[in-house]
Amino acid sequence: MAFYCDNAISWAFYRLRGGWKSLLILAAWYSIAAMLFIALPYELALGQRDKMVVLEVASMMALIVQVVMLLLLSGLAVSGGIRRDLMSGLIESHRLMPLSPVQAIVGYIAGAGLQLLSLCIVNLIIGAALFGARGVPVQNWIISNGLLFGFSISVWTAMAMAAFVSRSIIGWLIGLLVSITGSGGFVFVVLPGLLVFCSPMQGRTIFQVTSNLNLSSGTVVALCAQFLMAVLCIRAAARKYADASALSFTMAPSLATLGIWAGLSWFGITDFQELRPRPLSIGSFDWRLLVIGAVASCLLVALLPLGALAWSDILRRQRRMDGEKLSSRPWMLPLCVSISLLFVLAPLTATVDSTIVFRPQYQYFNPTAQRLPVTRQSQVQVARSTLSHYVTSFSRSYAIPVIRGTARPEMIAAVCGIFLLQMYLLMRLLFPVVRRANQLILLIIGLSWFCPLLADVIYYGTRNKDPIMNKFALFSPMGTIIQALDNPIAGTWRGVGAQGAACLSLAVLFILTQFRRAGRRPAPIGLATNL
Amino acid sequence: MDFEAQSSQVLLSIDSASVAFGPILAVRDVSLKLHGGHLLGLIGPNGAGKTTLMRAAVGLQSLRRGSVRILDMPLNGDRDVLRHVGFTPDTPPMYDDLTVRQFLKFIGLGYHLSSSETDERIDFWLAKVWLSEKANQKIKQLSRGMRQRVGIARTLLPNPSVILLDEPAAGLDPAGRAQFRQLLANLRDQGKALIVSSHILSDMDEYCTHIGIMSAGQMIQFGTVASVSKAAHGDRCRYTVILARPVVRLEATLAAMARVTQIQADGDRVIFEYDVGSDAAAALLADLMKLGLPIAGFTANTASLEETYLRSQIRQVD
Repeated sequence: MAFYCDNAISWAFYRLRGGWKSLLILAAWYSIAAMLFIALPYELALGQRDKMVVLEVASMMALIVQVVMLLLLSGLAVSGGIRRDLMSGLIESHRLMPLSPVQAIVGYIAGAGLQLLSLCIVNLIIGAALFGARGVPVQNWIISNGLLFGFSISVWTAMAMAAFVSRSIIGWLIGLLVSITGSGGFVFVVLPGLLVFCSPMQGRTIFQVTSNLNLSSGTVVALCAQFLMAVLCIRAAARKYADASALSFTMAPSLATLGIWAGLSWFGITDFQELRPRPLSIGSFDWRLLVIGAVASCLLVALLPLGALAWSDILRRQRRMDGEKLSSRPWMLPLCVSISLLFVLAPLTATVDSTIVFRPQYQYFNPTAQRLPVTRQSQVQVARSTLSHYVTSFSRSYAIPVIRGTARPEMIAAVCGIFLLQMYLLMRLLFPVVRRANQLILLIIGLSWFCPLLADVIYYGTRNKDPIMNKFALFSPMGTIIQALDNPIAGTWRGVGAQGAACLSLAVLFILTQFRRAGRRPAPIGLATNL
Repeated sequence: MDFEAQSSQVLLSIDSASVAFGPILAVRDVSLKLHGGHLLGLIGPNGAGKTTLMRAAVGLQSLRRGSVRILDMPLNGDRDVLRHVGFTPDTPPMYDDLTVRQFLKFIGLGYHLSSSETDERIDFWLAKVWLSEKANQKIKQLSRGMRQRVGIARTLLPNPSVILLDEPAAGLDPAGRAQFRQLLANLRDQGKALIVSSHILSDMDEYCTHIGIMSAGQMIQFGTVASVSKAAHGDRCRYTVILARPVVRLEATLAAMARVTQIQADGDRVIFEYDVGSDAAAALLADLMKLGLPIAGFTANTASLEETYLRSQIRQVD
């Protein structure tokens, strides 16, 4: 409560929600309704066994309600609170106060979902009572709720950040939920990083509250990633709060985000069998989808550092043209592209023929490695044995990756590197002249990635042959990556050459426009006067 | 521009500030310094860049070039500098579901004021803006003028040294405007530096010590009210003559007179420019009488702010 009294924003929301009286009344009504909902069927149940079933169903319902309130409703409350204040201009008024931006964002997160949080506390108590009544250890319920709460915090921070950068945040959230549920979890196959990030809800989930809740390595990784992402999102939201025209992600946090995503994707591939959504197993799809999806999603996340660098270079150039003396920094682009490329290629190493990344689902690639001990041990033991296994594996066998099933990982690296350069040039060309350049760039990426693949499907389809990605598809970075992972490999150098030629054309265009714009100055405003 | 000091310390200093929206330069190279006790009235047509300049001065708008310093501290440095600056936009945003007192308490928390100090200040400023009896009323129940007063109280609550008010009198009733003029004069006399943007030039005439006329993002005239007025008028004055009845070919008749310019005839009323001074006015009246015009009224318009603005050759867009 002291936090709510000290933080101006959360205090405002606390007052807007009616203060402690209103919260207490709401919590009391909710408790009464929940008790009635549980007590009625419990009393009507005939035998002891039926009564236990009622309690079991009620405790699962409590968890589901908890998930909906913490993840969905609270997240929407946070983004809704920020968007309302943005629209009404209140955030500008807040900016005039000497309140630190991080404090303000934390205030929004803590304050906007206050009513829901109070209901969640009631739910927590009800759930604990139900577990106690069932004779199941209450600590399982507490751990489930703890994991859920940790995940929720990262979702709230992401929603807070998204509220500053996107007007259609609800649409994005609903789209993500629909695509996850509608695809039967198939989204996680193409986005293995998301699978790990959402691991409290997937694989060995918080819903298995009655079983032994040993944390898997994936869950530990997810918790760390959720924490880091929450920090990055709060920082990004704080930057947008302090200055609406500022970039939410500057280069260093963008690279950190890419690194986290690449790490998550790596774990998503290696631990897929353990974390996978229940309807899917490794035999039900082509494993290369995991790798291609991971690389493709990393390429998309790599747009963040490239965009930050492009904007920063554009602004520096503008300031130089205005007469400010700024040192040039030609090393920034190679540095940014190199680091991004390393992260983008990181998921590929998950398929490397090495004991480091052995998982039973990839026995085809690594039949000799031993299985890591992951069950029936305490967490400390698991962590210790996993760590020592990894360390000894690294020291023993880590070398330049050689991916089984393909002899051309360097082609994947080349095409990814060229793609990153292309994107930087495209951003430098479009950002100063196009209002919604980000959307246009995403559209160009979508078309350039998938249209050549579609062309191959049509080409081979009209010839009544099985479509293989070796003709038009090579004009797409994705097509080239698919070819590089395919067996037999068909002329991936052609794809790399095509991407290189496109990059060269962009570079020539960029140089030409830079010379042309050099003498231009911003026009004076010509609104209401004739002067 | 550096207005001559009334109190020695420069409270607000804007140096070569330029603000751009994409390729459009909304404020161009504006520089000014305000000392304590200065009240600068910003005037200019819509879109001249007044609001943008004020927003840039409080850090709500990024500068393309230049810098802003409050009490000699850079605005983009320590956030604590924000304690010394207050800004009221033309429609102050508020949490409508809070009461006036709750909203101001929230502002006090945002400025890290203690609870007792906040309560004291709320009572003081609500009395100053004549809203004491509305303290426990929800903001959504207030009229526009009252919301404007709450906005002013919000700005003044942390007792800033530099106060910027964008169209503060819009929505105030005549009595409210009179009280507001008094409040501004008091703040000015307390040694605060103020910038007020308004289209109610007759009001600004009363309380401003300095005037800045903006157009096309530039400060085209600035200085004390007297100096700006003198610069705008020079040795010319606008005269208004009211006739008992309309006169045929009146404009042509007046145009034939020596030193009469800028004639605007409208039925039985004609406005034109002639030499300034009482002797010139007497001579002009005598000449008009000689022409046999049925003169029912004759006024030599004094050098008011409105006159100054109208003479500054800024044309409004229709």
